[in-house]
Amino acid sequence: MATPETLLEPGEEEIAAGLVRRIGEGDTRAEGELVERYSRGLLYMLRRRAGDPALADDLHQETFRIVLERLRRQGIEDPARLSGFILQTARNLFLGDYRKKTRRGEGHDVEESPEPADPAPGQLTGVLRREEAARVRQVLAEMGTDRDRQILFRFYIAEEDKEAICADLGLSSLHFNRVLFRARERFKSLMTRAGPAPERPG
Amino acid sequence: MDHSYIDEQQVAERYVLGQLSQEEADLFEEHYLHCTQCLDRLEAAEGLQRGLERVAEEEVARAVVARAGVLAAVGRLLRSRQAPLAVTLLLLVALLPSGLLLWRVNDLEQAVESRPVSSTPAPSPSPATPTPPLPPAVDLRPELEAVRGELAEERRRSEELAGELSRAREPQVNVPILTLAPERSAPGQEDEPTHRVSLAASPEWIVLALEVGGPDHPFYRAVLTGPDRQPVWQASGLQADATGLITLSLPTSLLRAGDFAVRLEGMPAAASPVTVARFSFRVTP
Repeated sequence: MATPETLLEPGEEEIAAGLVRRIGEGDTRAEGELVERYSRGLLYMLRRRAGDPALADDLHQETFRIVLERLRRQGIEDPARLSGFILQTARNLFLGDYRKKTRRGEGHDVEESPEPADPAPGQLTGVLRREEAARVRQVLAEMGTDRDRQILFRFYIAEEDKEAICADLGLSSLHFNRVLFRARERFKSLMTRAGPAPERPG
Repeated sequence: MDHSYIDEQQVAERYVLGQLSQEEADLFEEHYLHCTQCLDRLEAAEGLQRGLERVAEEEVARAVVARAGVLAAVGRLLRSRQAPLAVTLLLLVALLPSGLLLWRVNDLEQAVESRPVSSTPAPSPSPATPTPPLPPAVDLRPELEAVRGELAEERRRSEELAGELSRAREPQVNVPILTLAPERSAPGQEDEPTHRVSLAASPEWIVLALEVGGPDHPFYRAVLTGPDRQPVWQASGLQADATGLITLSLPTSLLRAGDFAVRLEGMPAAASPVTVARFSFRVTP
């Protein structure tokens, strides 16, 4: 079985090193390729961390600005780990922003403490969530057995370990993986059929 | 590309649930940064999780209303600015069945009066002059008696409900308080709960005082699961008090005999929820 150390895609190192070299040589097309290749993943990571789409967008843009300037000027120590460099730049920016806000917030009373990520969802978020719930209900209705439905709730909601669920329900690891895979793929196909989702507000 | 590790270990799902170690999460982020397949998978898993959460919330809400006989919801409303709505809701719940039954009794009484039944049995029909059979609704008195019985039962239940409501509005005395310390055992290896509580015959309230361990978070989410490990109730946006306690007051109608657990999650301002503690207790009949 693969280990976490092998998570980097085999071709990624060569592609990353090539992009770093070409940007260093002044190839502006390579800059566009870099942004296209890493943009979606970077934005996903930042939105997840920040919980604020507007902040994530700002950090996303700032990360690429810093990374590109650095690659144009002096390159990086390990070009094959370009994605690691981009991520670290983004994490540092996010932490810097967070610390700045925390410092500003010192001495504030409880009422001014940060709100949870989603304290009172807006109308659009409410509609999106209802749509998601409707898709999930359809996925649940199409599942073979109550046991399969139970797997989803216990894994995603009760957050029980896979091993505990399998032992309790007398399932093989393969069956468990298959149930999760089918549910996810069905949900994905329902999402695709519904068309691209609008921007999720924070 | 080799996705076998990601598939086998549910790395994407565990990332969405915030269950990966920091090292695993960093490695996975480095991977998905350029992997469209994993990004698709992450977005689907995230949507699925949110949708399941909403479905579970709706189911829990339905179960609470059904199991608590509307009382818990009404009790909460009574303490809020929506008290008039609660009273209306209660009156509807309490009076509607009685009103319908009363209407049915009146209807039947009128029918009985307008169509008196003969005290002598009907002669048996002769083969020469066949008599048409009596319509089945001729003798309405048994039905009238049955509906009167239902009405009496409904009135008794309404009075019971009104009594429960009245008790819910009264100051509570000797409310059982269960102070729970976080479990120390590893996930999936839970010991038998040391905390026990027995249920009173009549519905009442119980206060769970959770000792919040680990790092402080601005807000918490608590999920109560029942003996079948299904969520029974949950609430977000909870804050620990100055002594580090989160207190939950719950109607005992949510509980039944068996082992219950409360999972407490910290909601960091700028990161995914993290499980900070798990508390368990046993409900005895």
